[in-house]
Amino acid sequence: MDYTRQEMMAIATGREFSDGELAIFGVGLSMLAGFWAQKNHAPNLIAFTEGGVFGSTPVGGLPWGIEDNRISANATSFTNAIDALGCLVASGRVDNAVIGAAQIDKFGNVNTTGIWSGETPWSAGRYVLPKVRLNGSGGANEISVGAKKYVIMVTHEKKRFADKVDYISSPGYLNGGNDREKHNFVGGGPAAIVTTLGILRPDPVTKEFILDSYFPFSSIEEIKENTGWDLKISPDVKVVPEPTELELANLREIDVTGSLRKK
Amino acid sequence: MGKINKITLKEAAGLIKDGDMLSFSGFTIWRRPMALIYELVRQGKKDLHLFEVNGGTHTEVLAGAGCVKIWESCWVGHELYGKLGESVARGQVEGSILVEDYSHAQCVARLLAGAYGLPFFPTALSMGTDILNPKYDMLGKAGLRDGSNPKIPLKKYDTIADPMYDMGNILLMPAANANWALIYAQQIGDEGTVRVLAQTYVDVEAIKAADKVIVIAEEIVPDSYLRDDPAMNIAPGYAIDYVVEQPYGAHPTGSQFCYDCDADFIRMFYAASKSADGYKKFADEWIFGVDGFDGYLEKLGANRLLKLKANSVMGYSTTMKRGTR
Repeated sequence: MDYTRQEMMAIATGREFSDGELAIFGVGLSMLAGFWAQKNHAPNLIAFTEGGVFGSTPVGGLPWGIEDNRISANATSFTNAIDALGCLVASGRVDNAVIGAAQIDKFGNVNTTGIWSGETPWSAGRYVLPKVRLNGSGGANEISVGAKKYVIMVTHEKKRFADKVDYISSPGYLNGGNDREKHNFVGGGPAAIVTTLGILRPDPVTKEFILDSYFPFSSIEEIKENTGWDLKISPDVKVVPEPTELELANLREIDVTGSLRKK
Repeated sequence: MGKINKITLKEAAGLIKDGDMLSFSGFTIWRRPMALIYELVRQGKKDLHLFEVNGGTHTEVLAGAGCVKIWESCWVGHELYGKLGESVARGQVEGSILVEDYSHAQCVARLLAGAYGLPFFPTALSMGTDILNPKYDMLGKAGLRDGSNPKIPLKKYDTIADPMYDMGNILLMPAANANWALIYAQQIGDEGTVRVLAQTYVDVEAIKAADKVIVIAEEIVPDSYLRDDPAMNIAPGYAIDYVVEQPYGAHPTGSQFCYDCDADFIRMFYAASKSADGYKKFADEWIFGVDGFDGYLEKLGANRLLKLKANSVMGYSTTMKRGTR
C-alpha cells in the first residue's frame, strides 16, 4: 500500500488513543494523530490544547497552530492557558497526550531546551553556552508531569536517542524504576515512544525503553543502528500492522493540506 | 469612565525605555502587537527584558535586532512556519541574551502572582527537571539576583514542604510584574473596554500584572456597543493606559476574525533569521526600508492582505490556498 513514513507514524500514535479519553495535543503531527484517532476509532475523545480550546474538532483543514480559528471555531468552550495546564493537566485529569522531543534517553526523559554536548553548563564560574539552543519546554513539561500517560513522538536518529539527555526539560522516568515517586508526580509517565521507525515501550520494572515493534519498512537492525544506547529488544517484538485502507482514508481527510504526504 | 488616551505608534514606542521589562498578548504566532514591535526596532531600543509565557515571531523580531538582554519564557518558535527561535538561540549561544528557562505553567504561575499582587504563587508542577537545577539559574549566575533590579526576583524559585495537606514539596514561583504589557486586541471601546475575539490565553493576567498597559487595537468602537455583551470583554478601561488604533497591527501574526497568520511572510522571516546577515537584510527591507507601519502595509499590498482576510462567520480565511488543497 502507498503511504508515507510520516503517515505510518501518525497512525501508530493515533492507535494509542482510546474512545472517551480526555487528551491534549500540540501543533502539527501530534494534532493530526489525535484528530485522526477521533475520526477513526475514538469518536468520544475530548481534545483540548494548552492555549485553552476545549472539545474541538478542526474545521477547514489542519490548524496553523493550536490557536488558529480552524480549531477554535468548532470548540465546545474556551478555557485559558491557566486552566488547560494548571488545572486540567496538573490536577491529573488528563488521560492521554502527545509530546515531541529533540533529544531523548532510555528512560524517556526529554530535552527540548539545548544541546551542551556533555559539557557542564557552568565551569570556572562562567556559563558554558549551549552548542544548540532549542525551543524550550513549552507545555510538554506539564504534560509529562501531570498526564495519566502520554506518547512521545520523535524522529529516530542516533543523535536524538542519547544514553543521557543534556538537559531534562520534561521528565520521563528520570533514573528509572520508581524514580518519579520522589517528586510526587500525579501522572504515570510515558507509555510509548513512537518514532519514524517503530515503537518503544518501558520495561514494567526498570522503566528502560525497549523495542516493542517496528514498522513494515524498517528492521531491528536499522533501529539499533539509529539508537544511541544499547537498545534491548522485547522477546515478543513484532511488526506494526500497516495502515488499512480505511485508516489511511480517514487520515487523509484530516490531513487535507497533505502535510504528511511529502516523502 | 474617562476617554481613552489615544496615541501614535511612534509615541507608544517612545514611552518604552531601554532596559524596561515587557510582556505581551497572544500566543506564539497569534495576536501579537507587531506594529509596535517594528517601531521599537526602528527606535533602536536596547537591553529589553522580556517575560512571556511563550515567545513567537515578535520575540524573534526584537531579539534579531539586538533589542533584548533578558528573555524569560518556556518556548520560542513560529509553530509550523519556523521550528526554532533562531534569533534568541543565536543571542544565547553568542552570549548577548540571558535566557532563563521555565515551564509553561511556571510562567503562568509567575504572571498570576503578578496579577494578584502576591510575591509568589505556588505550583506542584515541573519538579525533577534541569529547569530547577541551580546550575541553570542564568540570572543568578550572572549576578543579577542581588535586588538592584526590582524586576528581577532574588531567587529563580523556592520550595516549601506543603503545610496544609502534606503533598510534599511545593514550588513557589516569583511574581512577574512587567513595566509594560503590550496588548493587541481586535476591538477597544472609546472608553477603553477591551474585547478579544476567540481565545484569550493569559492576556487578562498580563494586563493585570503590568505597571502600564498599551493596547494596539484593530479598531476603536463605541464603548456602548461592547457593553451590550460584557461577558465578551477581557478588561475595563481603568486598566488601560494608552491606545493605538492600527488596522492589520498584528501582521504577520494572526488575528482571529480579522485575518490569518501570513504563513509565507513568517516562513520568509524565519529563513532570514537564521543568520545575522539574513536578519539585517530582512530588517533593512521590511522595518527600516518602509515609511513606518503604513509603508509596511503598502509594501505588502492590498491583494495579499485581502487573501488573509478572515471570513466574518468562520473567523479564518476561507479563500487562501493552503498546502495541496
